[in-house]
Amino acid sequence: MSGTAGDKAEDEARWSGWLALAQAGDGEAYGQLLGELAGVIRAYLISRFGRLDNLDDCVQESLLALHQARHTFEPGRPFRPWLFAIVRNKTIDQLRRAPREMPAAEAMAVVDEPAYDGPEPGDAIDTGRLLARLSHNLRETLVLTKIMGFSTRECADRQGVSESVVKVRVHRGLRKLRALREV
Amino acid sequence: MDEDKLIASLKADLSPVQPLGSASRIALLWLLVSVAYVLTVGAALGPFRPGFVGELLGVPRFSIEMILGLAALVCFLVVALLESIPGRAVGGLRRVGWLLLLAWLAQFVIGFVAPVLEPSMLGKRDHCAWEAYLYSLPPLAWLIYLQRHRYVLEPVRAVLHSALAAGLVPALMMQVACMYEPGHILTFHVLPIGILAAFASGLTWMLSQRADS
Repeated sequence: MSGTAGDKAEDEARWSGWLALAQAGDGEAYGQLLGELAGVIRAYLISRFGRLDNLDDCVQESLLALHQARHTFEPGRPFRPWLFAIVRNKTIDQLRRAPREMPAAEAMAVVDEPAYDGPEPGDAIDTGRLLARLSHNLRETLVLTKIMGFSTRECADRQGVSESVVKVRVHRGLRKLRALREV
Repeated sequence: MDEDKLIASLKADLSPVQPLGSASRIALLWLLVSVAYVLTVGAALGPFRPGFVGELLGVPRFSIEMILGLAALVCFLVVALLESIPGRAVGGLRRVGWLLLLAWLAQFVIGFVAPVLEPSMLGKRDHCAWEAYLYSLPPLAWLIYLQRHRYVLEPVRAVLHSALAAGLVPALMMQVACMYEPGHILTFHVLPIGILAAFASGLTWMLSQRADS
């Protein structure tokens, strides 16, 4: 399922073939495809995002999305770009939603990670609330860079902005967090 | 839900699906039908500017201006359709589309100093801006419908490019149907494209934010 270029080409051909059969309604081929892709998606997410707390959710969301998008795969075109475009998009959606869905105490635990170089939070519920009070862009930038461990470049790519903008957002986000704590 | 159970339920839910048609064929169909629709409705609601055929064939700068606009339209149309297929790289085509649009707009800015055609009120349509909005809505709705039947990963961007393509159809029609004067063109034929694009993508953004929360 990985390794040499030959293995990758073989995987591509096998997955494309299964999906083409699934598009025609072959449940067996579809089951085999999803079973194999679940492992591929999990490995991809770990290599790309690290060990996420909600890794299982991300894998399942991705499988659901693949199911909904299965008619958009064009047999004969590369499989991996199609697969990973969907997986990446669904995972980013999950990560964006995570701070909103996370209970305050959990959010606090995440903010309390050593990677976070802001003020030492003393009160879990308070900091969870503070994070929620940041604008969407600032919160997302802090979550991606300081919590998820994305590099500035990766964060910039995901948000569709330049690296300088990300640096400014991190700086402003941390400053705002400090200011909010002092109020 | 356990992963194996999820896979089993997806397998049980499986039904045959129609593979996507060729994007270029769909784009061509959309273009032909939209242009035919806009020309027909436009002709029904008022006469075209007298002598526009001679201008198109006899004034090279005017032909180039129209070709630039048409090329931008085609780029945005293809981008809008390909953006609704996961994993299709459209960055290059998108950039070409924007460059062509800027080159097309530049013709009108240059036109303030050196107009392509002699500015005149000849052919003026009283409600050209409203017509531009009105004519672009059905092609836009159709394009968004086509996208929704695919799988859009970046809805705001997809709708933005759809609105640009749909807005360019009546704007180009007005180039031959309404008066030719750069200020009038920018205000009443081109601005509606920007407003339509901003409104459609803003609305999509709001709806996606609401769906997220």
